[in-house]
Amino acid sequence: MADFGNTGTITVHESVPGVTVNVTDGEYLFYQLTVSGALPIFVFACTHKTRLRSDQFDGHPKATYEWTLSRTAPIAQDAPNVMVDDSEESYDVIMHFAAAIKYTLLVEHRDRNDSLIETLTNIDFESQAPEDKFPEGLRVEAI
Amino acid sequence: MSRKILLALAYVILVAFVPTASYAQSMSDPLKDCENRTRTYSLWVNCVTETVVRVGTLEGNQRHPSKQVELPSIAENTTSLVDQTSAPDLAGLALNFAGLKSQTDSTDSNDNGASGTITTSAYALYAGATGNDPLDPAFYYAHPDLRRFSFTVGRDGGEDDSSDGSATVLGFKALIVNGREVVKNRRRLDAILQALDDSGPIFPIIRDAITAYLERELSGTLGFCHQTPPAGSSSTIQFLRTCLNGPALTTTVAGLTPKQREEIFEIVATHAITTASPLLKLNETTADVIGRIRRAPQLSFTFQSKLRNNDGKDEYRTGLLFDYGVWDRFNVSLNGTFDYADSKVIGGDTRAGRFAAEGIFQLTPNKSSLGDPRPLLLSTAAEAKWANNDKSTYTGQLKLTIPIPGLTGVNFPISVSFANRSDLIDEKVVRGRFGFTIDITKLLTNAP
Repeated sequence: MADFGNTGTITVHESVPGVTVNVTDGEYLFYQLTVSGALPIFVFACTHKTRLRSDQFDGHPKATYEWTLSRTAPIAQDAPNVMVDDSEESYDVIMHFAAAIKYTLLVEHRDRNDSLIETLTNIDFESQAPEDKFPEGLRVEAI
Repeated sequence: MSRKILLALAYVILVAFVPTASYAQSMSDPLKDCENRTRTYSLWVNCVTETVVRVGTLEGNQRHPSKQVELPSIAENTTSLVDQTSAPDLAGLALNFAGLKSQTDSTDSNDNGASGTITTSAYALYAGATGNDPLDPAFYYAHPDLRRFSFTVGRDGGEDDSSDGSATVLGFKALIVNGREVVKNRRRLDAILQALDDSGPIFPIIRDAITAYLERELSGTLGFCHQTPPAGSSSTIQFLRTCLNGPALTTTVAGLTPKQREEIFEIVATHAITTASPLLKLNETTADVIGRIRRAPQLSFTFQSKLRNNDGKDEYRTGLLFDYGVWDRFNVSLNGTFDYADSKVIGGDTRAGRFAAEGIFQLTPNKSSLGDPRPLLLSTAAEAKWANNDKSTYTGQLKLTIPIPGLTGVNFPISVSFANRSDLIDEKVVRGRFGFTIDITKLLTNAP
């Protein structure tokens, strides 16, 4: 039986549904999305608007996409940084399987020195059905 | 034997179409089924959302077959009368175990009944030779033309009414028109990305709305589910990380009353299935784009051969193959080929023109009551062959392709063929066949 959609399955290595990030102290979230398939189709969205989409990244299509949330500056040239809108809301990575068959999402809570505080999400998402999609969400409280 | 085959077909169709009692039960409390999707909070929220959209719109989508992993039509014990234009991107296996005749009249020992082929693409071979991951999007995107070429190698067990014996099967296909190539459909797929962009915020909005409802309804009685919440966090984050996380999530969801599930249904429906919902628009766009790609025309050149070591004749088939999706659930394939049989007997060579057509019907939607996401396929085919020194042959075929539940990429094709005469004997022939097809790509991608 599928976990999601028609044929979707997930393999959970780590999953936390919410986190408090001390942005005034330089803490931030690091996102890494690894893709297998022909064409990654995904967006990163908060409750107000879509903040990033797959075709905005340098080198798209590619196997690995990285970005940060509320870092003081981008961590790398091809890793855009997004600032929080509200003090607390959910952020979702919505992955579409129209032309991809596997996504691995890693989300890390890091301090101002880029050291790991906690791994929040480490999940594999797989599907053979091109109609399938999956939104992996995380509620973020920024203080 | 044919009676047994018909009984098996009837059973499969009956099981696939008869609605189950659990389905009717789940319709009255649809979110109850999501209680077994609590490995993560996102998984449960997504199950709730998908269920609300499915129940609210009664939408159905479908799947379409296009990539041939069966034995090519030139093989004797094949369930394919008509060839498809394309092959799997990486590799496919086909095993046909038996040719079942209407009479047990075989006295020839040349037929051991086992045939099998493996098909791979130039893309897969190039990826292997260069050490690249064939599923790396950058590599996949850079080499669309390599996926035009595929190769088949295998063994044909031969017919029990022929003295030719077993043969080596070799062949290749070259896609001349490839309307279903992902890279060439980039603009269509961009429409899905745009729809995903438009609907992006709806997912966190639904998630936050459900979270707020659960906290409001349950935190007073559950507290923090006997756990220590993270210090300095908001009450919502504390509730999420205790009662909506790990094993406690299963207990929390299982404790919801039917009324609470109904209220959650209404909350999600308010956002997800309104007339202007971007989520519905996303689903519509996805179905439209995928349908257009699946139905796009494909034209390929094919060359197949059966080569024998002993005195048996070598056989060659070359020509054009065409596929076109006439309708969402109906695909048509046409073959126009020239067949040549090189006999070791002087004057025994045969040259023939051949035309074949096949219609493939998708009998079930993606999710049958068998629980498998792949549909049952029923195909009807006809073949006419006009030879230079032989009487014309007309063959019809009925084939049912059954996905094996729980085995992604593994199918069980059963076929029954009717012919006005065989190639060598002037008599009517009814023949049943079955086998397995395995799409290695799908098996590999489901590997841990």
